[in-house]
Amino acid sequence: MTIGESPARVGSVEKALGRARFGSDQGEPGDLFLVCVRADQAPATIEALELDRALAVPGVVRIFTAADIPGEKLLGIIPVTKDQEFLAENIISHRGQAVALVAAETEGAARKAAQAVELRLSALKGVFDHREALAENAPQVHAGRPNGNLMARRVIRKGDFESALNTCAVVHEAEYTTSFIEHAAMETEGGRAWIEDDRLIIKACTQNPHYDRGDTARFLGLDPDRVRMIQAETGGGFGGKLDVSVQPYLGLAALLLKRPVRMVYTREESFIGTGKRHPFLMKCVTGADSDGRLVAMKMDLSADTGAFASYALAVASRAAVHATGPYYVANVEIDCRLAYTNNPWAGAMRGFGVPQAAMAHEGQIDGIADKLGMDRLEIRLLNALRPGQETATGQVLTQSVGIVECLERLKPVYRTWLSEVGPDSASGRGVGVGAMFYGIGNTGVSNPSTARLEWTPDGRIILFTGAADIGQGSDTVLRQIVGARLNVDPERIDLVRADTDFTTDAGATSASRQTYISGGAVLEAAVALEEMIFSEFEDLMEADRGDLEMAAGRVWVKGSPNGAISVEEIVQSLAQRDIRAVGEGRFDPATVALDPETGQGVPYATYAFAAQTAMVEVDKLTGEVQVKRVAAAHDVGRAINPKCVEGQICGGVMMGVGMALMEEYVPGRHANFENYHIPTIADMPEIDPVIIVEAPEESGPFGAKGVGEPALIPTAPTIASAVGQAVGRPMRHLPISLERVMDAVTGVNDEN
Amino acid sequence: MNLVFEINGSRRSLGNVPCHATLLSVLRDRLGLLGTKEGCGVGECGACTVLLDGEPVNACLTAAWKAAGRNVITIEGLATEGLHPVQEAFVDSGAIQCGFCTPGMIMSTYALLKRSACPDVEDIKSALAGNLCRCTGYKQILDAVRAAAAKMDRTHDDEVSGG
Amino acid sequence: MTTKYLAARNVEEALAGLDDGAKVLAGGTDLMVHLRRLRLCGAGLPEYLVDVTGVPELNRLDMDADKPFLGAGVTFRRLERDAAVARRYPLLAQAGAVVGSLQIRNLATIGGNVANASPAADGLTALAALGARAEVVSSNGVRHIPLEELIIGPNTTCLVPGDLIVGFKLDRPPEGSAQRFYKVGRRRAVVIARMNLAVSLDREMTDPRLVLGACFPSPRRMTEVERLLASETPGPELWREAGRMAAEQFVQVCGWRSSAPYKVPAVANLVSRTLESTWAELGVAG
Repeated sequence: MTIGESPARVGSVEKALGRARFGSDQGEPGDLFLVCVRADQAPATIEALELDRALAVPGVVRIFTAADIPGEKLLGIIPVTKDQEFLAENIISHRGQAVALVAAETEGAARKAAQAVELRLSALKGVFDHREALAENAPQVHAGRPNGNLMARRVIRKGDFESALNTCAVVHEAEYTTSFIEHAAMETEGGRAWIEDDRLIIKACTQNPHYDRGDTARFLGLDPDRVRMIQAETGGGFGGKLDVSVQPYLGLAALLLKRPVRMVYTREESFIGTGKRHPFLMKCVTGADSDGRLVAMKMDLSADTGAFASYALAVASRAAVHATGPYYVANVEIDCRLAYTNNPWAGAMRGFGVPQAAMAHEGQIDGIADKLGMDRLEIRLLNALRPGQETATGQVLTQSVGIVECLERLKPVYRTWLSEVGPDSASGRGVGVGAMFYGIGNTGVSNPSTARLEWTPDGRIILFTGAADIGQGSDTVLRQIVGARLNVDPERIDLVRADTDFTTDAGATSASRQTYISGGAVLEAAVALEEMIFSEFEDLMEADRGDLEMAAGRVWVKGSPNGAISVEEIVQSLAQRDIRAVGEGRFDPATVALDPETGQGVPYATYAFAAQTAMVEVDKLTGEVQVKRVAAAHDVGRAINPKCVEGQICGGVMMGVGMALMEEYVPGRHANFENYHIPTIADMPEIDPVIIVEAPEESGPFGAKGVGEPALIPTAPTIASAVGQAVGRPMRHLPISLERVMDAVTGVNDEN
Repeated sequence: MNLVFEINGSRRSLGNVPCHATLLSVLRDRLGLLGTKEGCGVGECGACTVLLDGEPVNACLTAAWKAAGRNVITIEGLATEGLHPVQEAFVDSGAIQCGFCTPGMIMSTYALLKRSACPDVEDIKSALAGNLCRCTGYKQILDAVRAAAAKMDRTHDDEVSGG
Repeated sequence: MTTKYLAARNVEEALAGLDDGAKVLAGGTDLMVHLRRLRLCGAGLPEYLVDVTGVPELNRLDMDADKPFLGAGVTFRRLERDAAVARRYPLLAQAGAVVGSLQIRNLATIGGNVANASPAADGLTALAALGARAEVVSSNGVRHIPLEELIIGPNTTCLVPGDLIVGFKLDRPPEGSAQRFYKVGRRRAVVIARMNLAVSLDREMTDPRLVLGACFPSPRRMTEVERLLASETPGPELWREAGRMAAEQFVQVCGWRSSAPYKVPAVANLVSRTLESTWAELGVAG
């Protein structure tokens, strides 16, 4: 049994030795190098794009523009909102949008030529604020859209908010804001493309190889069968490598030049040329009874999706669906609107709008607790979802609801820290608590994963999965699932991963879905393979199938291990009849689409839950905040690999520290890590204890759910709660910068 | 004039290295040592950390010619066979997720443990603050550094190329 | 195109290179970033660099001399670790320890920090508190330029092509001085200073020094505050008054800009707290 053990991560030895080849390491001598020409002004009309001077630069092979695109010009991750021009044709929608692609013999020549391209623009009136974008007469980011700048909207209505609010003993009203955030995966986007047997092959870093193939093929006007996408080692993603980046450019150049090409984004390009986390404005009214039970909640959420849709529909839905937090609230009115602006586009980033919404629901519950003089953890416990209760979308949760246990197990730590800090805020220390729930998989839509497992006559076990491991550990976890089901050492299992010629679609590495959904598909494949092996054993040995056992590559009738034969023999017996020992699996969690008017439905088959507590120290004289300690309790259903789970949680906590205290991407101001800061090891709190709660999910592989995004979601609100306690004022705006702390300390901009 | 330096224990002589070339570009583009990564190009992320005469530096900020007559060790030069104890500790502690920061992180750790056999938490934080990691939250990296300190023995150490 | 790289072995070689049109390369932590920017936008790159870090005079560190001297090529790592620096100029050692990352401190030099002239440069703030005078040589001879005259604006010095900073002559602080360097940033390490502060006090308050960085076009000796410190009785009231005065000067010099709501209270607080803790270190009774 390998479930619950922590074998070393697949690939970590190669990575430790420096031998792993990432997308940005791809390339062979003689490859052409590609560089985008990007507009430095937006919105604007392209008046002229002169290439002659650039083409004259020695070493330049060709410069592509929108006119060279053989297929569809508009790309995008969600089929119904494809709106992104990878090479702008007439209009520059955001600063940094590409208008041309240079292919040259060397990087130096490509960059010289990119600089020599003459781009004449004439400025258009733009809009850079999502509230202004939704105002009447706002400049339109994309002309001719029936909904103007309103890109996505999700409404949720349950119960009767207005009348319920009148019954409330206490009402809390407040506004929250968050900022654009850059994923800052350590590897920038990169890859290589070439032509082989008249087919296009692209090897690049990605979270989503099967989607990449489809959209790249559309862009190039090719049948998808003529495109092979191979995931290179991927140096982190966090949502930033879900949309295509270098893939269409690589494909275009390789296809039209019939030469191998490579491309690597500089960090600056990665900042300006890939998606961001959506900044949100959240206006909330929450009512509770005199015991602190939440009765009514209204939230008006709006966010900036920038120039393109990307994952806006998903973010709008996710933020709305999770806006009430992991609490039972009978009367809900949520309206979430995402607007186009001329800012760089926002897309998926770890949590799809839920980390933003968590700032609001956690701030609101703190506000109610403070008004009633209640303990902040107790009020969460009182309101936490329990089996039998329904969420804001009317989904009745029946099992695997671990939020109460998360809070209960966190309680002793929280109490101890509170008593260490003391009740008044003179010490500058504060303790906060925060909680979250998060639906695993895509929202209210089918999002299957598939897998294939083969036992070869020469004794190899090969798992074919389209799931991209981007560092989170799906390779390791999926192997453990197969190993556990077939009773073999996971080390024995070879992996063929994320290569569209050999793997079937597993969906994106996003939405914390690979352990649950691809794990489910892999488990199905293992069951099917086992069935085939058992059936052949039955034929060979005339045994009763129900009584068979398999372990360590041998099969026997229960109770008669002496009569065991090896799986290899069984597989060879199949092979003699030209039958391959292959098991295929598919898992698609059961969901019910959200009603467009009321938002009622079953968006996810299962949810992860978590609660965290943090102790901070605030220097009230300078505004500096140090997060001293964080404790985290996460219901993951079942930890297939506890060390991987802990790694995800600690990584999420630190990303949350960044979101809470320092990360804010301001278009035009931040272009690299010189001034866009993510946390260093010196910013790390003591993260202890990390409590893994296991409320097993019936539909999950061995009970597992997911943890990738949940790890991050409660952290920023928890830290905000702690800083608020330390300074004696709620902190509702992220990041909690030096300036915002000083404002709170000196009483500037006091909302109370 | 050729740029002559010792890289991972071997003497190399390279022609046509421009005065403004970075050590990083020479390692990656001329010597094919792709273990040293470029994460930002401006010395902020530490993915390109290599040892120059035993001291960790950002290869992206180091003029290639500064290596002339000196000794450079990259991730490829750490272990003569198998894994160096630092590498082993990173694998065993779960300190490697996406792995892109790993080579730089390991080089900084190795340099730290060479000068301080049992560093405390503050020493470790100070030594690794220039190596960004977005995946792990650093906790398992901290575990790895402690584990490496415990297991690093001088015998193996002396085998390190040029170390 | 062939380029030229000269690792100068002495000042004469370096100057000859500079007269030949070479650009000065010290640690390179600023220059290489600049060159990368040029490379990315396809612009021309220098054809001749003269690396001055191997010049013995630039590596001289003479803290115990009557006229202490700090070579321009000394790295921050060396400042952070050198015992004589820690003894004589603790604020210099403290500043050295908070510049960039260890990897950067292994390369970056104090001279480069000065030549780059960032308003937030930690090394500059520290040097300004020590009354540093730069020794600048060129083929025309030697000049000694006080720091305040060398730095003429944000990222601008009065140096001209052909000039080379050899090092800095430092004031000797009165015996038994206590010193502090403090930096406020948006994270806890590898960060550009939002504010930095260098303080040097002695028991008799014969020569108090206070420099505030990242608040003005260049780090600034707060001479009025220093005079106040020298003339009034040390104690909580004086520290508060000094803080208030520093904040007032920030507004006077810079105007009420958008950073003022933060910096005005932060400067006042930081100055008074740092004075208090520095004074406490001197252990003066009462």
